[in-house]
Amino acid sequence: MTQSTNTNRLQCQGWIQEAALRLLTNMLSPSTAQKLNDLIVTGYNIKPVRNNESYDVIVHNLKHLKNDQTLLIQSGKPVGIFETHEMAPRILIATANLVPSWSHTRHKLESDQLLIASDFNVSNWTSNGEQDLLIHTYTCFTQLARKTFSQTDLKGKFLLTSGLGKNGFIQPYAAKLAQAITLVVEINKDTLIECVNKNYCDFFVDSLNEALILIEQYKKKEKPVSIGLVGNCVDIYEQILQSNMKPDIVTDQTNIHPLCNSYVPLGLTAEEAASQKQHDIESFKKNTHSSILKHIQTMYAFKKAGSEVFEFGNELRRHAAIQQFEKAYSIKSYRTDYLNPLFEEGYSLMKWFVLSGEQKDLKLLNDTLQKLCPTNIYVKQFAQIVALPNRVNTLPVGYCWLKFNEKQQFIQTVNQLVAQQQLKAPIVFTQEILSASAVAAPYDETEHFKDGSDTIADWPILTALSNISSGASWVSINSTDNNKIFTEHVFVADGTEQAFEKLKRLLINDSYMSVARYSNAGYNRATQTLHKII
Amino acid sequence: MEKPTFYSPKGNQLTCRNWEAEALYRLLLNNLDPRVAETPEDYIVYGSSGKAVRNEASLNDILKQLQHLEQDETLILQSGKAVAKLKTFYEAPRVIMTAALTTPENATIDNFSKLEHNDLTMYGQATAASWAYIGVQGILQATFETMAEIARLNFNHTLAGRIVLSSGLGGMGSAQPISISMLDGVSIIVEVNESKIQKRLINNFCDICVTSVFEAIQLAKKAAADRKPLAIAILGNATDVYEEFLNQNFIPDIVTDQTAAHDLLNGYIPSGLTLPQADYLRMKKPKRYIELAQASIKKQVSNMLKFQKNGSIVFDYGNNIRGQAFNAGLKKAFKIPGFVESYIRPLYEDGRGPCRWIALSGHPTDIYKIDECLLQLFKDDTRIQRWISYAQEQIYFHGLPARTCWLNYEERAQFAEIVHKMLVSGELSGPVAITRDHSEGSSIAAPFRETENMRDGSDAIADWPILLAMLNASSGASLVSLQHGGGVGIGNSIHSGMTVVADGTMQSLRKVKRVLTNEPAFNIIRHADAGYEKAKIKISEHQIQKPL
Repeated sequence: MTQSTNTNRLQCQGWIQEAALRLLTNMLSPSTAQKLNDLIVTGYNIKPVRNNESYDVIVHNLKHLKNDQTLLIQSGKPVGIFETHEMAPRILIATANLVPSWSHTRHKLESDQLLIASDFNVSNWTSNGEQDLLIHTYTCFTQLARKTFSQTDLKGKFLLTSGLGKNGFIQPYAAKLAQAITLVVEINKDTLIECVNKNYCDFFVDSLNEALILIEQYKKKEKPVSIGLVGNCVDIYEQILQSNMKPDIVTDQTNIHPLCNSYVPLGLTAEEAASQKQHDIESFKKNTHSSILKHIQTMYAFKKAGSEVFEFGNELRRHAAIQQFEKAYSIKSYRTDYLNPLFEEGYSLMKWFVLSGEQKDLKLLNDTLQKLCPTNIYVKQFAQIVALPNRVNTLPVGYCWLKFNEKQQFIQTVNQLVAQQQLKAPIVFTQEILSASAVAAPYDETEHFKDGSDTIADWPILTALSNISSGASWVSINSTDNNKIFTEHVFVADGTEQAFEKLKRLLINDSYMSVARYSNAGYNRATQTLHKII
Repeated sequence: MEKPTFYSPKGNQLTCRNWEAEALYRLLLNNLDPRVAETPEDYIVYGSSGKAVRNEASLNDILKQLQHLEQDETLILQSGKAVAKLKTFYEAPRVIMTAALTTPENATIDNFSKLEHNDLTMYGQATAASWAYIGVQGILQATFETMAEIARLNFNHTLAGRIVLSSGLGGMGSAQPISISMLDGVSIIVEVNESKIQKRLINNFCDICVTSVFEAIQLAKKAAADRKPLAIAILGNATDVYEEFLNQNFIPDIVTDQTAAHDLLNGYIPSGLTLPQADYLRMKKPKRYIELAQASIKKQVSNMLKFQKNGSIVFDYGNNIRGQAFNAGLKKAFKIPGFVESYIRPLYEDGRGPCRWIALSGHPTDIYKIDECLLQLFKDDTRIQRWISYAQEQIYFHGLPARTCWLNYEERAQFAEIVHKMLVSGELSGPVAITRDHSEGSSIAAPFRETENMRDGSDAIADWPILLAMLNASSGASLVSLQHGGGVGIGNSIHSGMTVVADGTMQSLRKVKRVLTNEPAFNIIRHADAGYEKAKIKISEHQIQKPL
């Protein structure tokens, strides 16, 4: 893979194509991608392009794509170039979408090279690697702090969590950033060691006793720390329940979904679990089911005892409900309880890539934001987050929660700054957390909607088509896991006249759709917000 | 309270602020015209459940919104209900819509019915939700093209002396007798609902109605011997009648079925039930009803397999009857081929597909003038020649006059120019809406029908219709839709609709031409990507840009 070129020199016919090229190469750079040789950016199998050949051809196409043409990408493969017009997107992406009744053939189609698995950000060519996950996790923790403890972070709070796998490995780092005192339980010793070696977790201890003593000390000093402990989380959670240390917050990110994939049931080591799964799947399933039940029972017991308990998107409650645990859904969800209220008010978590590659440009953006939004409580908080230690030679990226009018002002101003050449090169904007109009996911983002519309998937498609019609630079529609359809889009502020025209529409329309989704589902606050947008 | 009757306005007086909005306004009302729609009072256009809008309130709202829609605004419809009106660009669609989409795991009839019951979604069939239904003509040509292809492949281009057995005289099925007659064949169509038969007799789709199997056989054999066309409707249940034909050892040349088998509860009538009994049972005991329907379909398809064994050409006509029989336990159901794979896909490979256009003026002469122009220009295309001559003879216009015609890649781009020229020269008395069926080369993913047995195994990949919707929204279409279900039912298809309006201005020509170039190009790309040789040749022949 080529390194992304961080200059203001164009290799393409326009800045949108150039932005796509730089983001794609940035994503497939050694410090962003997890398995560069397989083009895997995150998870076990999440790639932005089908294969090396597709990558090469896409790069070539992007370099030659005209400003009134559009490149179509079907599950990571470039399949067509069409004459469109300047206000239309330059790239349209659809990944892993299936006819619903054939969803179970997903893996076969993947191994037959007819599709690639999709995931948020990567399929839209806008992943910033582990930094994205850090921001996600951090923003959940801080929103929790606001909602539950009426404070801006988790200072002095004892957070108990588990699972350092696919999405969980960043938890101790994010929690420390949010000032929490964290104990994270991980079944796999090597994973924990790797996490500590990467400095994502401060250190690990050998026994629960030791951990609890340390936590007590740190709690007294209100000093943030992240402590790892090897063990089965159900087992350890039960022991903590028996002790007199009460966690303030309990969650977990063990790999529960898909079930019987990489979950390690209570009483088995990781190796034993793998072997039982291979040789005696029925016993393994039985063990998994009973373990999940115990798992949620301990979490429910914590809730009873007064801890703030929530599910972190791993579908624990869903599988517990299948196991007939009636109270499963009395446990909170990170999305419904901490993030949705922000969306109802018209907030979105924006992310911006600095195409020049210059930290100076990033700083100018942060300063501009502080000037424009003096009352926004998130600006300072997010400006302080520095890049993870392993981020070298990558494009500088900023994140912040912005209300729709702030977002509008900010992006318009940035486009102006690009036009006036105060910024060295254009800025790419995208949304870091999906708004509910951009996703249908009944076990995650659209869980328990007031009107029961959790499974309605009209909205992400309508949002995609309206963004296409409003000047988005590129747009993608992707599916994951058989229960999630989502759309993402990108806007390149390149300082051109057209960019101003597009912005006038895109910013209002995307916010409108986002809030309209909640308003249509009967959320009153959203209806009030809606009237303010148009 | 009596509900109003809907008719599209005609002539050049605008109800809306521009012709794009006006066109969509007229198409919507035309879809609900009592001479076009199945049950307009329930907003059902066709296919027993395919609605154009959610309910009365949403219809009124949509009409009002369209009346005030500017030419740089876009109306957003979520399953038949307007949810936003946005400022966009002239080049963007005036209407964007989705219908019946759900998350994949929840794409079940149970969940969908619940959502529908709670007024959260709407079943839109294909062209019902996208306001592109034009009555029986669209289906007629699809049926005609299929029958003509069977005749070409097996019977030297004619069905003279051949007997076709099928069933169902609903909106879709009624195209069968007339298409078969057009090709000089004899048809026996089984229909359980007497009023449907009456309707088809009145508008000359069927020639005669009989009530006994014996009579049907005699009449059919006689007409076939005389090599004369004859369309026979037989009152009865398809499962029972097919069984009886087998008992009589009567083996037709071609056997298929167009009952509403895709919809077990609300469409299909199981063997042994009268219509009132069916209505009662589906209300009182829907589960039992479905069991009976499944048993009946299983028997029906096993009978079709017996016909196949005895030498009939047997195929599934896209109502998912094989899928239903398979689910009911008939393992061999898929020994019966699907009609698309056998007869239609070769046309898709050419980029050929079911275009249709509607004279917004309401004047039939506009359609006939375009007909003449096509007959002149496409002299070498025998399909177009044959179809238009037949259609002119057989089709009576109901509602807005319309024509459907299968055009290939080159013809479509030319068509944009033709209509534009005729508008500029004043030959046509008003703008023309150009649209199509959803059954197209890349516009649908439906593993039981349009994308069955794709060469590379990509039957279930729905990226294609989604990309097509995105592409059309970027190319200048006036209406873009993405929908779920269609003719094969919930869970079984994802498909996209498109309408573009030619009003004679240069800017509209630009849009129409782009759409009519990009869409067939993408159809060819989809088939080339799946490994079809003819499509690959077309790619290079037309210099379509397919990077990989």
